[in-house]
Amino acid sequence: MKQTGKSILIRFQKQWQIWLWLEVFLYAFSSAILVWFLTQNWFLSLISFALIFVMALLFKKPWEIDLEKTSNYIDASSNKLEYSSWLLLQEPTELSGLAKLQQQKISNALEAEIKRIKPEHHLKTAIITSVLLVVIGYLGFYTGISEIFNFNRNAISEEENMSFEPIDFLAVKQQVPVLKNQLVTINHPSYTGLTTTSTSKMNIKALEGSRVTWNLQFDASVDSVSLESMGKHRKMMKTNLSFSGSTTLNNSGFYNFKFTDTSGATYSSDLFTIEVIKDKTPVIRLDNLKQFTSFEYTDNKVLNFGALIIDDFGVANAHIIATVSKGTGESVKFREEQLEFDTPVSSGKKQLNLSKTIDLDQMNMEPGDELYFYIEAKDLKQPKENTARSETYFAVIKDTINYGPGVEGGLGVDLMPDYFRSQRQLIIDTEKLIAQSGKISKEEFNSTSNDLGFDQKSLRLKYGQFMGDEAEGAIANGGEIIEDNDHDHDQEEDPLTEYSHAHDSDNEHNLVADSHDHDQDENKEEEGPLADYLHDHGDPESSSLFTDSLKSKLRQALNIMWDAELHLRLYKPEKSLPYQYEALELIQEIKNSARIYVHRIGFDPPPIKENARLSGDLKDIDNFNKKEERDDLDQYLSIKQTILRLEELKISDSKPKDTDRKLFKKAGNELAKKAIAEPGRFLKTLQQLKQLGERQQISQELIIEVQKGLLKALPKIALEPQRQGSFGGKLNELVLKELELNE
Amino acid sequence: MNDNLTFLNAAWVWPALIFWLISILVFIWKEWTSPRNKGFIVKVVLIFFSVSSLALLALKPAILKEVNEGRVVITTDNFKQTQLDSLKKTYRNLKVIDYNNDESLLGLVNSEEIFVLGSGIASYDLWSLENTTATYLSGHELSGIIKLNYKQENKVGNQLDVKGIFANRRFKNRLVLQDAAGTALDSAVFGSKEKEGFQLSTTLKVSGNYVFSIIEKDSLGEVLNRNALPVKIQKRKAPRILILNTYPTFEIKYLKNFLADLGHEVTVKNRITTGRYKFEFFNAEQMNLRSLNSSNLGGFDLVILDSGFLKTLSNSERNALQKSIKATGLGLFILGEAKALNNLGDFSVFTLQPVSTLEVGFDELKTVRLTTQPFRLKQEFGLEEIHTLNASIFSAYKRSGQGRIGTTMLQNTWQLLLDGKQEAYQQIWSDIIEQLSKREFLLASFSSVDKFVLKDEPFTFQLRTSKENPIILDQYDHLIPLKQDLNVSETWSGVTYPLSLGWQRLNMEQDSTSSFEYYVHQSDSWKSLRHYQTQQANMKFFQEKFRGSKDIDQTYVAIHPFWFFGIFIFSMTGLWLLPKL
Repeated sequence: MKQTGKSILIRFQKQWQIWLWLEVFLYAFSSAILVWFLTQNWFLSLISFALIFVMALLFKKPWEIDLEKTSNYIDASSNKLEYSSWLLLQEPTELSGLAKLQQQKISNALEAEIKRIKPEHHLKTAIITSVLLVVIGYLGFYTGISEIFNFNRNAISEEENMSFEPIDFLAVKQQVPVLKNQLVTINHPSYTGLTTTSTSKMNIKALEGSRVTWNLQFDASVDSVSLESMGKHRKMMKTNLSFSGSTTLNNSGFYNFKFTDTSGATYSSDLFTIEVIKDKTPVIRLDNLKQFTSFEYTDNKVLNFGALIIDDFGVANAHIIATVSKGTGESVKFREEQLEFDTPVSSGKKQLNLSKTIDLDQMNMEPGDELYFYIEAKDLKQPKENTARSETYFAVIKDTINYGPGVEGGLGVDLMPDYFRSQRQLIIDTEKLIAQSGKISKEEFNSTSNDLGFDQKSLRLKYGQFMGDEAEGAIANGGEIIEDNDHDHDQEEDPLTEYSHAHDSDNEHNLVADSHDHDQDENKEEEGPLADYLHDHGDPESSSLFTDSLKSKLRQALNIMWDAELHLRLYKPEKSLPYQYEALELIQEIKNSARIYVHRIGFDPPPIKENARLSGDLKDIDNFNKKEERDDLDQYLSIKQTILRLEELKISDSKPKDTDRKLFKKAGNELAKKAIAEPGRFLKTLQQLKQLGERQQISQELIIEVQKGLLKALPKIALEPQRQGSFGGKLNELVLKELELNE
Repeated sequence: MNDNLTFLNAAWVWPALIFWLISILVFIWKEWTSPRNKGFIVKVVLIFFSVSSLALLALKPAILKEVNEGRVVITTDNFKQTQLDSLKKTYRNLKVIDYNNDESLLGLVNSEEIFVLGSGIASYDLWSLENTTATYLSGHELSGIIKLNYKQENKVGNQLDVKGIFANRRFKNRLVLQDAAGTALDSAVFGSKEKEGFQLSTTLKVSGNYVFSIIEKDSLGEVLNRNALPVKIQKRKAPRILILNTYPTFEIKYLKNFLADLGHEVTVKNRITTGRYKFEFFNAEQMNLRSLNSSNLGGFDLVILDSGFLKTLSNSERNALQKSIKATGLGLFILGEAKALNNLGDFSVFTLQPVSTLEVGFDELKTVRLTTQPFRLKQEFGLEEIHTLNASIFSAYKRSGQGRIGTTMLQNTWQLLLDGKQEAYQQIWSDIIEQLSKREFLLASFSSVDKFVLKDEPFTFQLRTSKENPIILDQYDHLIPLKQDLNVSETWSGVTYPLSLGWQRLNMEQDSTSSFEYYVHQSDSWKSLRHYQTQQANMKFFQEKFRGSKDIDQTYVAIHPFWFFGIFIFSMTGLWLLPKL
């Protein structure tokens, strides 16, 4: 009986102690994990475990739980034991009879009670605390906050650490120098405003134009270190035990390091990527503006809009380029203006909210005028800034005059000046007049005829203007032409040249200023030494809008118009009519030619020699030979050869020869071209290929890995006809002969 | 001598006879001259016996006997224990031979009945059971690939299609095709069907000999087994093509660009006007093509021309073309108006039938619609089809001597290119050009009779060559004896026993370019497939033979020498005892 009671107490005590130990352990363990998450340092974590363990132990003191304490606790937590559980600890022989009785009673009671009583502990708190600690640690690790506590940040962590592989294992005789420190410093271009960053990660991702400096430190003396990048070697500068080198990034690529130790053995590092990020051009967004806005003359002609300009490193400048076009057809004139935004542009801001109000009246725009404008924004990039421009927006003040349908529906542009249209009108009027003859009085008839003659004259003058004639002169000269030119319409050369004034080409400056100037320059060179000293605008005839044939046609038309006018003035509209028709026909032709002129921009058909056409004469026609070689050979040739060679190496277990190394190198170059586009996909293979090319001992796994990577890099092959081979024996021949006989 | 008796050492008959005679005479004379001539007759008899028995010991006499060795069970891989047990129960004194223990099957000819259990006896061993009464009882159901078909010799850019039948006893098992480096290329998952066909395919990218593999995995991705799939990938060889045209067409323009861009040798002769031509040489040497003759046609594998050009050819040119086709195997592809095909003289080999459809889609190119001329080619003897749809032939060729003359009713295929359907265009023209082009003449062509070659097991190959006495060496320069086919003198066959695993090579001594590579598999690979094949071979073998009773064999069996020895000892004892009596 007594035994049972005491053993229950002992069991309870043990249980209590275990609970406390567990608590202590939980605190220590969870805090150790927290420390590990934050520092990723096993040593620190172990120390913290020990520390917390000892502290918690001193606080909890599980060893202090002895039987006396246990019985006191049990007595305190149960009222059925009548504070007598200590009796169980006494030897029954030392007890009085009553005490014995009590001891027995208590022993029984305890057996029932003990299940209800739980030792005093804070295990729940301990569990919650430790879970919390672990979660905090994990979150810190996950979000990167732990970087702050990361004490080995500057020390090289295992993964980032650059490993150097000896190129020739056999040459390694002495202690291999070990890389103590590696550091990449990236100086971003000053305009970005980014601070200099340093990291021990060798895969570089930086903005175009950044300056990268590498710093490598070895624990022993090293003869030389060089940087290999895309087939180029560059020695690194030596200062004590460290080496440094720097370059400005312009293109993405790969690089690796190579160093020679004092005994002459060479080591090579893995391949690392350089990924160059391009500075983005600014993004322009216009709000509150339609692409095409039109105003009535009476409207309040104001454009109001806001512009949002965003750039990754700051906008340098932004403005509006506006063009006003006046007039139509040939007389259209453009005026370009640069407008500033109403809100001042502050240079260097990454986001600009600008607004602008354009008052069309202030732009001196009249009905029929059009305004085109776009927004241009530049960023801070150096040496050459990125320029972005928005779409073009239109604003038109509707013309109050309606022109009616254009000459050429098919063309988007109204090619011809308006007055080309009126010859037809004149004909209609003349025909009307002829029909009315007899019905109206002679005076009226004559005056109408005279009016028509005047119209004809003004039409001729307008055409003359177009030809380059001066208005007044044309009339005066025109009179004389009739006599001279009446019968030789076909004459190409203009007899007028002798009479024409040398200064009458002013008008062209407005029309085709550029080409005209150019023509003059060329003329100057041809005309000889005197040309520079003479005041000469060139031949007015050759400087009009049209080519020579057109010009002569127009001249001809003008002459015919003269005739038409003459007869109208003589009150003989019926005689004038044929000339008018002829003039109309010529004008029509000119219009058509002008249309050809416009269409011809793309394609210039060679002139057809009419006399040689369809004659069947082949004397000058020769056979034509053309030879073409496709010189872009298979761009994956070495990769394919490498794959095959690796297959052989895989099976035969033999070592790669020098020729193989060369092949691997070539394959590496081929792959690098592809890898620049997708460095993530092929970098590993490229690294391994480099190892293959440099190492003496090659493992099977490496070969298989490289082969795998290379096979993946090969593109899909297109279907193409191939030559089939077969053995054509006597039997085949017999069968074929037999077939033919039976056909 | 009796037919029933013979001497196994028949060569020794005369020496033995002489020895016997001399010994008898010597001993008889000795007894005759000895003083005590008691029991002379008995002695002579004993001498006769002893000397004769000595002679017979040397000669080994044998007598013809009916042999009956009882019943035999041969167990092979995969046999059912229950079958063996029930056989044992039925027949007492059943002799069990384990085939895998390399026990000889030679002495079984005389057995009363033979049972073969399990997957069966390798086909090269079956002969040893000929003329026996044998029953084949196949073993357990096989699991895994039991049938496999793929082209071991293939070309770059072609598709590798591995087809087969998978016997499956577990749900969701899968097969994965891996390339030489272990990248998974294609896979097939199987349902609960007992036997299921599968097809795995991939495009071949690089030339060379590679070992692909087919891996069987269970539903959890555990690899159950891995089998090597050797593939020989050859480089592409592009045909050299001559294009002749009466006037430039888009069809030709696109075709020549397509071929030239692939690096093929293409020569184009395009008529500009009467007697004037434009010659274009893509990736080819410039040559004189003013008139066609057998020497300049010899440089081409295929001539593509339009029917108009064929008509403008001079008689000598036509003859040269005809001759090149018939003699050297040049291909001729005629394009152009279908109606014009009928009046091309010797080249009019096709019969046309009008059809109403002007648009077709082919089986392989379902999504692509092609325009055709309103005709199809009539199915007739000797017409080999290239493009067909529902039994209507749209592209085809006919043989003419060694060569081929073909045409197509398809037109404006270049529009496929403009529609961005490059692949369909490539497919159509690759089909046509490949089928029609001159075949490359091979001096020797090897083929293997056995698909799966194992180390130290016979590998039978067949060789077809026009060489008189081909000599075939293996890669260690061991001569392999060849057997010429009785009827076809160009066909030879040989057997070799590969010594090592992996790729092995056979070389022809007369021609170093003719060699044959074959792959020797691990002995445990393709188990289910090989078992299935031997099973089939065994079923066939044992089904065909020996139904009903067979004549019981008689054979000469040597009389046991113990008997002669006994007689000898007995007579010697007599000779020794006689004087003492």
